[in-house]
Amino acid sequence: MVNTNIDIPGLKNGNKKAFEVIYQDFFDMLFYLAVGYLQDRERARELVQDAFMKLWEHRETISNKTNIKNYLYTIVKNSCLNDLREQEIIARNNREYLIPELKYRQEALEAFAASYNEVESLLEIVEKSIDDLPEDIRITFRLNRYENLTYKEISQKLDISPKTVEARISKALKILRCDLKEYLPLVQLFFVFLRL
Amino acid sequence: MHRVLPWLCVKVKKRITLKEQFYHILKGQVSGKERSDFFQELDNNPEERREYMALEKLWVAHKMAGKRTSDKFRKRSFNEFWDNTKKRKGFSIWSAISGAAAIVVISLMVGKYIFPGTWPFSPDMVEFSAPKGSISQIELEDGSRIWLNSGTTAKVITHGIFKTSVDLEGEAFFDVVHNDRREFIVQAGDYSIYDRGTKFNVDYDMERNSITTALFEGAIEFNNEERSLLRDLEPGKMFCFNIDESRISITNAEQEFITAWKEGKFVFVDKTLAEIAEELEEWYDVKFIFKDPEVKEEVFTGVIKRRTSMEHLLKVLRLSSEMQYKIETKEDGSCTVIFK
Repeated sequence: MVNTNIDIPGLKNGNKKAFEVIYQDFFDMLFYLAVGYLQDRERARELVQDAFMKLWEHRETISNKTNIKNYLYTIVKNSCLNDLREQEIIARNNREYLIPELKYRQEALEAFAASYNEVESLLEIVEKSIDDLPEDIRITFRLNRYENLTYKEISQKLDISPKTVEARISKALKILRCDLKEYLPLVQLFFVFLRL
Repeated sequence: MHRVLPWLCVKVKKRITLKEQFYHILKGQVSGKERSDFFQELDNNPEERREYMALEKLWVAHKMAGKRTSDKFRKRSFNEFWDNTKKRKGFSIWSAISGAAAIVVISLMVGKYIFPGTWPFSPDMVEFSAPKGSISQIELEDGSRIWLNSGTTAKVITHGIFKTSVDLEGEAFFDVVHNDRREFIVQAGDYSIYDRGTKFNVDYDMERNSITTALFEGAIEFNNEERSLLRDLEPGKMFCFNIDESRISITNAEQEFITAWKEGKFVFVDKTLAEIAEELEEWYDVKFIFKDPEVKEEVFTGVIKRRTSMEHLLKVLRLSSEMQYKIETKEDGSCTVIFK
């Protein structure tokens, strides 16, 4: 199903509840896309607002076939690109040292997932490998990775010694290293950054 | 100190240090020269560039899927969005411009006007103007379209079906549907531009006493009262006619810059802050005060969306210069921006 849990007729009619549901569901995803490439939370929020406003303006043309998530994703991605282009033009005047980064950002964003589905499948590969970990290791790993808990905090929470935590995380990484061969060394690198 | 990835540390110790820099850059913990040096370095190192890009992709994807903003922040944003949907109700087009400054679309019928009898003009002349701070679009019956920039007046005169002329004061973009049997003329004071099936932009600046015309498609002819002054302008070129000196100069015309105003954008090409301030004063209805005369002379080039809030626009300007400013709102609601 393209639009699970989305009230398409409600959106078409401009129903507040229908809009609130998708807003709540997609806001963060869109916001962190924009923050990731613009590195400006305020501007990111503006662009996400504009994307929802565009959906509102065009609500009558929505059909069951419209992939709402991708639609919003594409709008935000494109408006971020435009924003970076504008920033580059402005930087050309007397902040030329900003240009390499702005050029890099445009290139990186253009190369970023063409649709949200692609983002999902990238993460699925990572997720799947984590899901396949033995339960105790998985729980420890997730606490560390998603909730940013330190080894000490995890040890208190799970009532195990910090040494055990360390051993479990280390085990998790060993397994993942095998499972995610294709994405190595990228994924490992990624885990290093998640304060392991 | 955790040593969870000893193999990585031992085997590629040097790389790890660089990768740690990746991490600091990703998290936005590095700024200034160190940061620009990093991206400059990436430019020279395709492999690093590719790796950093892949890492960033994973990083952003991870945040998109897993990170949540606070409920309060999301709720507040939604309410703001919802209020805006109500404000915009009634506009048939997605206006690129906020608040009172909406694009006005007017349909002009030849010989039969929308409000017959209410125009205080003779039947074959209609005057349109874009008030300061807004852009108007006029659509003629044949599908030709005219955009009027802020503060521009255009008198559209139809002489039966064989001739249409537009008396222009200010700046306008013309997208004329070609018709062999009809003349289309833009009149700028004593001078005229004949259309030959065309997209072009005319800026009749009465203060500077100049006419600047950029041609994007088709052909035009530029005449004074007696004779033709220019007839072989190529698309992609523009001419600037200095009326006092009676001198024409031809340069390349970058459409993106020249017509950005009609997409609801501010266009500044080598403009001083004083000139920019003048334009912004009209648009945002604020007053600008310069404490430091040097700041006035700072030059900027750029295109900025008009719906950008003034605060954001000032931030963007500050990004490219060292200027400091302060916004003061008075009791009566009027707003002043002070540059230090």
